[in-house]
Amino acid sequence: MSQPPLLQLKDLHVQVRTAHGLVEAVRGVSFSLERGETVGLMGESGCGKSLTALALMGLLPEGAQARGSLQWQGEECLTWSEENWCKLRGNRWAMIFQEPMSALNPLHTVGDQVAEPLRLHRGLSRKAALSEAADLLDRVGIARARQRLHDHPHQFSGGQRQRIMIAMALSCNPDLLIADEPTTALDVTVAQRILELMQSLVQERGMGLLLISHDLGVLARQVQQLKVMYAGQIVEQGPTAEVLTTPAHPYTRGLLASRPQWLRAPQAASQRMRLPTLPGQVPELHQLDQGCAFADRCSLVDDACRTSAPPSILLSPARQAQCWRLS
Amino acid sequence: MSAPLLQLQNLSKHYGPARAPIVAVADVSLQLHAGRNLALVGESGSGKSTLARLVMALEKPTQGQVLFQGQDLNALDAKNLREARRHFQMVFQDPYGSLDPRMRILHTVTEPLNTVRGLSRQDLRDQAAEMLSQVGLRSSDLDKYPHEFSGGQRQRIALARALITRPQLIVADEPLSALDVSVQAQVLNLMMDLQDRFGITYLLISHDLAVVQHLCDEACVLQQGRVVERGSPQRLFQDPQHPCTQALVAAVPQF
Repeated sequence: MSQPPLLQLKDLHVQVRTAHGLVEAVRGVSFSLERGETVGLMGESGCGKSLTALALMGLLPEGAQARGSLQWQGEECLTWSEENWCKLRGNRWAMIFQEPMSALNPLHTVGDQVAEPLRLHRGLSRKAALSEAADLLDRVGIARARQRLHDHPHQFSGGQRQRIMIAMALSCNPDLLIADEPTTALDVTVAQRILELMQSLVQERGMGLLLISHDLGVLARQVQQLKVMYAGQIVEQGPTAEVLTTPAHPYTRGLLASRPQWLRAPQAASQRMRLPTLPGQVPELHQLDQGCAFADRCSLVDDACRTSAPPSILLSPARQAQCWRLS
Repeated sequence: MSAPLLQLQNLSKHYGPARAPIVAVADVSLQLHAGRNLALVGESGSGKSTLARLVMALEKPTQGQVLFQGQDLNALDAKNLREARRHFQMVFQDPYGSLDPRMRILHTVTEPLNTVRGLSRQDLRDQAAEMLSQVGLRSSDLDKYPHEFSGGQRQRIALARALITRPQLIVADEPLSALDVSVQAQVLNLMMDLQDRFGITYLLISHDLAVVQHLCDEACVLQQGRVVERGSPQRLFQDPQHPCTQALVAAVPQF
């Protein structure tokens, strides 16, 4: 009998309240994640990737509703009470957000904040928790960690604050780490170091990692499995290197084609050439109909694309894309 | 060869006490010729942004000179510096932070014209409408506020504002980094179109070496405030000599 996966999502839908009434922002997302596995969710603004992550943590904003199935080690948790969520969050699974300044409490010392989950979930005394907090801060690369326990968040730089967030997230040795754009607010070289740190900790502890980003370069280096989201759905998925080198869905293909080519061959000829761009814009969620959400921007569009939802095409055992024109 | 558009001569900038200064820019000399885009690349803290602020005359150098069309910017009095500023403008990374949320687009875009006397309200509106159409927005957008636009549209607005004084030089500090992938190509294409149409030259600060290679004719690699390597991006990135350049090239994702 095989163990159920660490995390399994089946047909997750999330509705949010907007000026146009209730609209579905996440429209049937399914995937699973095993311990030790790294999965990336790639998508542009408004594609539903952050709402998916918030639903996973039971942290949906007021008025938002999730349906479908979300299983944690085989147990359904979409219907859980807040009390149940609190036992898991910060303990068995942890989350790192984009903005490390607003995610830390400016009024409490960093030591107390990193120690809090240790006291709450592991019942350590304040003294023991602070001592372990210092070890954690040291592990994530905060210099003179023990002396800095009594400093407040504003006394740290943006990169250091994100390190503190990681220390907090890891304090209870979670099984799953969800990182939503963890480096978007950081300077590029600082971001690189934060990602390397996250990666080494994930490997060291055998955690599952769900990394959410709009940055293909970040995902290319950090995750084994890549899922590309568009308008609330996963439109393509597979091993990261395969998706990025041989993209199948017209959306993924268009995104990759719009990047300036980084070639080792001499290529003065391509300099200042105009890049191919995806025409149009992401559709408004309240205007979506039965057909493929990408149809209006797709160069391969035909009648079937406009009339019904595209089928999921199996490209290889590990790769799928949702597109009429691949069938 | 014509005189350079911009010339930095032995430029240094120190912060903190004179006995133990923090050296942000150390003895940088470079030239930028009209039509030939120059990139500054380097790690966080390498002095790129300080250099940009010195070029924009937002800071005074500790030593050395910034010559714009042969004119030492730091030797100008306030009035003449204001006048000179129309010829060089800046675009920032964060299109959310760099537009005043309480200002209508009309005022944001025409703000750089405040130093120009004798423009009627209608003149300002006409010029702003013209600039918006150049960057692919509509004149009906003039009366809107920044929150009504996406990141890519805001970066277009920032470009319209930079262009309204018809500058020769635009300093662009990570202009694409905060944008979605599909929007980055649109804004990069727009930057190239505007260069063709208005004859501007870009001083680009970017970590994205592929973008640098695509847009720029020359690149300078900075480390701890010094230029450690320079050359055409093709040469520099194919055959990096300095460890700092080698590290930057190694960090480019391969796909």
